[in-house]
Amino acid sequence: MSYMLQHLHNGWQVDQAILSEEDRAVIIRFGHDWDPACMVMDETLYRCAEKMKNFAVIYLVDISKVPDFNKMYELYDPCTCMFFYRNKHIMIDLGTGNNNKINWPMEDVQEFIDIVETVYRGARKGRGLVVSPKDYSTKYRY
Amino acid sequence: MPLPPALAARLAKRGIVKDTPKPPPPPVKEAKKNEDEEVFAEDYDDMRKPDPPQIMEEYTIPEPVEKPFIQVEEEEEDYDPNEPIITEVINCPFKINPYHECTDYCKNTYGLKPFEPESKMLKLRERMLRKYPLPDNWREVADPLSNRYYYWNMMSDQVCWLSPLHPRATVTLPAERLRGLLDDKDNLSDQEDDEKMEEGSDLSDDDSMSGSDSEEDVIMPDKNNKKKSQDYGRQNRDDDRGRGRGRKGGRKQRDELDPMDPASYSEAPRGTWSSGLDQRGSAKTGVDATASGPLFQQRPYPSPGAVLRANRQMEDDK
Repeated sequence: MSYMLQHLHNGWQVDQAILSEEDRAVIIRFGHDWDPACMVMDETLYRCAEKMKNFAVIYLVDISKVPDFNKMYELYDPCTCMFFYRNKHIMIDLGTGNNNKINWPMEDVQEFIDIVETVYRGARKGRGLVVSPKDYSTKYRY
Repeated sequence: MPLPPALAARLAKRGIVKDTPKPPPPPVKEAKKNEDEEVFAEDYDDMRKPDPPQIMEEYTIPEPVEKPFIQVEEEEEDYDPNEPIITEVINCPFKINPYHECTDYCKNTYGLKPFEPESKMLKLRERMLRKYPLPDNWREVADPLSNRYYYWNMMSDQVCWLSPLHPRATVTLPAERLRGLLDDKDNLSDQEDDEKMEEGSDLSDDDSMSGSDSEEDVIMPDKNNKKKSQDYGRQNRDDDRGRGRGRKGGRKQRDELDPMDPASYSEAPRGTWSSGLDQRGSAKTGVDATASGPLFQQRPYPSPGAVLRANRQMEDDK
């Protein structure tokens, strides 16, 4: 579903996309369109894009074409989702130990919308770190 | 009006009252005694060479020429190697103060401290010397401050509390010299002191057990400071506290170059832990690259604009 979402092709576009967004959270998915993990994530993103268009906007970035952020953002995973609000990186306490990003593909649309809404509400209040409504730590998985 | 005798004695001891009508207090007596040198030699050997060394003449002269605290060595050529040298130590009450440097005044006022060895220590010393006789160039020196003997290498100027052949002997430079070398790093010495303390405590623990250990214990003074006469005057006081304690060994090790340090095997200059690390762009701007655990989770990434600027900066720097 990546062709339904807007791509950003260089660092400047990424910067401008985030800078130009005044009242909405910006979700950026770093990865490759051909990656199976990213395909799962893109499907979820596409399905929730319409529902959260009032408070969030979604962009896709190919980390091979735009390698500018790979080092600083530690983009080592096949699929990484990051949240920005008013040119500021918003951290989410997901319970995974990494508060900076969602680095696994999410399948559940409603879960993702809940996270984005939490991010948006927290960021509106000026928070840099919000707590995810669901704990994704592996202790519940096993 | 006459002073009460106790006060007069005290003032005379401090050198404030010069001519007391009373029989002179102990220090004055000692100063008199110092005029004939046998006083502090007579305690344990009278078979010293009969001619008084010329140092003694300097004492009688009101202005002594030599520095007050230097150990006095007799001339080596007429020296009998079986006979210990005696360090001269001024019987100064301010020796407790490590910043006090005795002057001629101290010597004239308080006189010299006599060497009074304990019989037990002498017995054990005899036994140690029988087992581990002194090598060439080593001489026995009596230290009146601790009332112990130490051993001095005349060639290398090293000192040791035990006979240098003794298995537990530590041969070092005299404290006087080490102190001069390491004066500025004095605050570093505490840890080494602690580690030496452990060693010292096991020394005193098996005090009752066997001959050889207790022998050391008696022969070695409380503080293992390899010193010639002048270190800190508190040595005889804290006998049970800091026994067998010395900072010299640890100090020296700290100055040594680590063999794994590149400075030891290449031309690289000697640096600190962080010198030479490239900090540019190693991680997110403004966050601690070494953060881990809870701190790791609290570092936000910079905005994309900041990332791009940082990248450009790195390009320019190259």
